[in-house]
Amino acid sequence: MPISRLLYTSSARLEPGPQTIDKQLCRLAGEAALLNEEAGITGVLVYVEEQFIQVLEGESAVVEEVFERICCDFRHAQIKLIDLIPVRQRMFARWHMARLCEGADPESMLDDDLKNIRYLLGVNARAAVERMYETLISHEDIDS
Amino acid sequence: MRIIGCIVEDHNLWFVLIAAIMCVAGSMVSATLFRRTMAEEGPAWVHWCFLSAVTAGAATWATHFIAMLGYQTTAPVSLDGVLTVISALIAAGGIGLGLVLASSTSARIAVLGGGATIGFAISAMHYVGMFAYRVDGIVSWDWRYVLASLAIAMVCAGSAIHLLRDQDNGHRVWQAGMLLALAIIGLHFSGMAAFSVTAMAGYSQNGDSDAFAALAAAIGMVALLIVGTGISTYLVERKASSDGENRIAHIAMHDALTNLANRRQFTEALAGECNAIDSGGQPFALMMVDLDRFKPINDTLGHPAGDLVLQRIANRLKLAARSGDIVARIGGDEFAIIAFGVTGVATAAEIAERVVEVLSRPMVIDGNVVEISGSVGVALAPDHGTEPDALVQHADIALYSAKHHGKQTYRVFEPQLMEVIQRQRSLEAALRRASMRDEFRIVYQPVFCSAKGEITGAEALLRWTCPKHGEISPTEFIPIAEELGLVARIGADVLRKACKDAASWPAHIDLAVNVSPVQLLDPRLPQTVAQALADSGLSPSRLELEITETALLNNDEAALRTLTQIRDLGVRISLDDFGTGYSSLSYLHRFPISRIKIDKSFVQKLPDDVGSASIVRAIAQLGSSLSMKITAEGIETDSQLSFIKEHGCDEVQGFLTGRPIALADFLVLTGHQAENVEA
Repeated sequence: MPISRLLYTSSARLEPGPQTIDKQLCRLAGEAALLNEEAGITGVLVYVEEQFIQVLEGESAVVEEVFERICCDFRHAQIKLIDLIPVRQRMFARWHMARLCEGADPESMLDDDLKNIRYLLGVNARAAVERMYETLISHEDIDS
Repeated sequence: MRIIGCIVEDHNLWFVLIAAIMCVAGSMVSATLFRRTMAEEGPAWVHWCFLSAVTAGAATWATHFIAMLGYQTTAPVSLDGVLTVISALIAAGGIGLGLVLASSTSARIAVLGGGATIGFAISAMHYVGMFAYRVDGIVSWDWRYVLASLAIAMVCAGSAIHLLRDQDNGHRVWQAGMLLALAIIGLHFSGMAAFSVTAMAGYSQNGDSDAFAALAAAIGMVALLIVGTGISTYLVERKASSDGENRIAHIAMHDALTNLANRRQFTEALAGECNAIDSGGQPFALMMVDLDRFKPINDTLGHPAGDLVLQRIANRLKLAARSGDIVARIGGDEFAIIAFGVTGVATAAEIAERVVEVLSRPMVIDGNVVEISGSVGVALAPDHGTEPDALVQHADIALYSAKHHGKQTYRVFEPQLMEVIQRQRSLEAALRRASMRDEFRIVYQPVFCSAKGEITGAEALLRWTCPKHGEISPTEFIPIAEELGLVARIGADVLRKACKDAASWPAHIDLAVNVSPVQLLDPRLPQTVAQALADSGLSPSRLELEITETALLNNDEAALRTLTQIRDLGVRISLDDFGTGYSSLSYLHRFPISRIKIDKSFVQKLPDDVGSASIVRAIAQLGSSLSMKITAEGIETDSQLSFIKEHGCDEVQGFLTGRPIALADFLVLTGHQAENVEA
């Protein structure tokens, strides 16, 4: 089965309401994780400066399907497909959908890391994905 | 009177009641089955005929036996098994034969033959059943009642068939059923009135009344089972055929590929809504949706991928519309939405915006990224019309306008759009004529050396005076010409004429001609250029073709080939409007470009706008380091000119130094200048 990795960004259109961004994000990522586990999708969802940056890894056909589902979701706006490549193995094999949210850990350098990732995305998408992985490893304790 | 007396006095009324219910229910089922049978043809007709005959026969037979159970006689009774079975076979067989006749196309055979046969079969069943009914007593028959019973059965059955054949009035199944019931009940009780038994005193009882009751009950049960089977068969079949009909109706109203409503359902729904609005119905919005870049997908990825794209588009449209709105596919890549209860532009705009947004999202098909987008035209009812045709036309005009405003957007209809469209259409017609009759003129805008102020060349510019609309700007008519496929022809004409004109200019004055992106796609362009040069005798080194960056986008391989061939002729290439598009430095590097023309939008902000100033400086430096010439376009003031001079742009062009002028005036200007130079 060929494995693909897809990277996209979108601006979040979360509802302004009683729920904090973090809670809504939690719900969103939670929903996704359930579906992803069934579909064998792994990856990471980054939320920084009102932007989603998401990596999806899995069987090519399934990744296409999941991405189409995202493209039908009005909680995203201005979806941009940054990269879609066949890969030999998964980078985020351990996470059905890891979450890195701006402001989740004010004590650490997380916010700066995420801003760097966002900047890097415009320059070198593949390096940005690697940076996401490193950030995830170093902040793993905050998101369990 | 005797019949009523017979029912009331000789019968247990409970059994009569059960028999009557059995009879009515059985008759209704039979009538329904008869109608079905008579409507069928071929093998199905045989099956229905069998099922109807067995069911109706069993119903008649059961009615007879239940009623006989209720017949009260003082004489002991027994039942002849063989005759009983024969009576049942007579009922089923006779009714079957009757149905064969009733299915005839001739009304006379059907009603008289079929009806009479059915009536006779019921009667025959009754009387054979009566022979099977052995009573130990003196049996006497009143033949008048027997004949009356036969007449009742045959007339009622015939009438029932007549009603069932009457297609115009929905076959009147209920009335026919009641007539059948009347035939059976009438026959039975008039038949029983004809029958009387006097018990013989002292005659030993050899029949067993309990056994008779058990047998009769068993027969009744079997008959009920048969009728029940008939009913359920009919119901199952009706369900299956109504499912089939629903499916056919669904297929007729839906698009097979996307399962959206099809054009037919859309047209009907629109007409329905328009009618409703005339009688005070809800306002609604009609949206026409057109995909902007669908055809290349079929061409490059194949039709299966194109179909998949359409299916996903359909799904996205349904999500973008609100639940209850009608989303229809009305053509290859054309969709329409009827959004109900839309009272104002704001709501319509919100939906249209969602549609545009969801269509502009990327799509991945078999590992290929498909970039697609859609345009939407909106018309509101009743504001923009209450007739389907007017609404569709207005929504189409809005769509047309959306497509002309850069696509991937929506437009709500406005009356002014009509004028725009009409002008557009009229221009299209005029432009076609113009290209046939050579109504175009060429003017020349002088290009000056910024250092010395001498004319070094001229840019040929196309002018068109429309007989109806007057002077039309090239920015308006060139896109129309591109769409009409006239650009290659017009462009070749301009090139030929300009080369001929320039051949008579002083040899140091060069000619620049614009080449549109559409022309650049044409592989015959190098040949056209070579021909124009050969015909005019103009030296290739004096000709420069101006292209824009958009021409290089997407098809850079083909463009590179064409441009290299042109360069090999000795003709130079310049990049026009630089700074407004992608301004990719890779173009400058990869393509055989010898000049950059800085777009006038930067030049006109000089020297005060810091951003523009630094862009102009950067481009000038770029030019000198890549050893390309730089021309600044759109010089209008002295301060702009001095800024340009200072920052090393080689040449200038603009209203300040010289407006575009006709050939004769240009010749005077160059002649003048030539004299000056000589002097």
